[in-house]
Amino acid sequence: MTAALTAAAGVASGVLTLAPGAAHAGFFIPKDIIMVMGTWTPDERTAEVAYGFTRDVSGSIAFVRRFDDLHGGRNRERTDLVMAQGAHLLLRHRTPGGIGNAYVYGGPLAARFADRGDTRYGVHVGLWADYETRWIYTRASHHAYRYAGRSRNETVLQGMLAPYAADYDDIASWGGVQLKKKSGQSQLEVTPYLRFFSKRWWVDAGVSVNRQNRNDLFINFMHTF
Amino acid sequence: MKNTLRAIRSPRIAAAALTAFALATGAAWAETVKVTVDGMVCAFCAGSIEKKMKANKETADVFVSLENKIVAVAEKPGMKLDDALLRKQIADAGYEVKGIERVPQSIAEIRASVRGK
Repeated sequence: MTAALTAAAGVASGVLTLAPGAAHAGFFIPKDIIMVMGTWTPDERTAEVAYGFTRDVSGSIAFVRRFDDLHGGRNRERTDLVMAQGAHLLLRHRTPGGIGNAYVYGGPLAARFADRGDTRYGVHVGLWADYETRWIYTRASHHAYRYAGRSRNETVLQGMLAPYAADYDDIASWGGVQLKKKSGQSQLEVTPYLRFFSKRWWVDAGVSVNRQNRNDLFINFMHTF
Repeated sequence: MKNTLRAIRSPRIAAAALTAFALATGAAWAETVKVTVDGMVCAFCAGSIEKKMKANKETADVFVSLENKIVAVAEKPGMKLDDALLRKQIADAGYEVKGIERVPQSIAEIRASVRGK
């Protein structure tokens, strides 16, 4: 398993280098499954590899490159984060046509400030709840970071609808909206997006409609092994 | 005649007669394990179930239907999947087995019947 994680971390690093990056795995990762994720926005690029240790416990390593607006957006500060994460499934609730989950996740992080050249350490913790059927997907999550005397919070709400109930061999198409509120940002990011989903991969793509400083393209990628 | 009918009613003799008939006619004797999985709505989680099933040495083929919430597993000739193992593997994927039955259908027949609905 160590070898598998090492190999997967290498793949994740490659994703970070070649494309732009991956996301945070708050969600359920089945036992013995490796998941590689990437997310790209103008503000954040992440690459993450996660592994399901048991039905309820997964772990991941994430590499995050973050750009924060300084002085009203005239300058940008680049921070590179390496985050280890453990996720625990608190609740799994099945209904005849759907399934709901609640997770807690968190772990240590190291933050390197590109301009200052120094590295600081901190922690991050999050809560994630989702419910899905073959027609709808809803998610609420909150992620808090504490490092270098900084406190960052991100709250995300997502809602998606499927125009048709895809079966296992089909490519599922979803349309939805993501609402994201970050600490230090006065405006709520509203991002309509599309998701294409198949057995072992999905891709999200959307554009924020009211980003403060720029149109915010959002691309998310996931693949399982 | 009565003795013949009595003999056919015996499960062992009936099974032996059926096997002999299948061998004699060269017919393929297809039996598939059909697992009904509660709450299986997500292709991602179903994908992990399929991966587990395919990794079993007894497995010849797997078919998953979210519409019918079934995972159908064809066994290799002469091999038999353990129901307890199937339940555990599906539980590890985060789901619960509602029922396991062995049906006299091939994967292709199950797939065709599901798609024909």
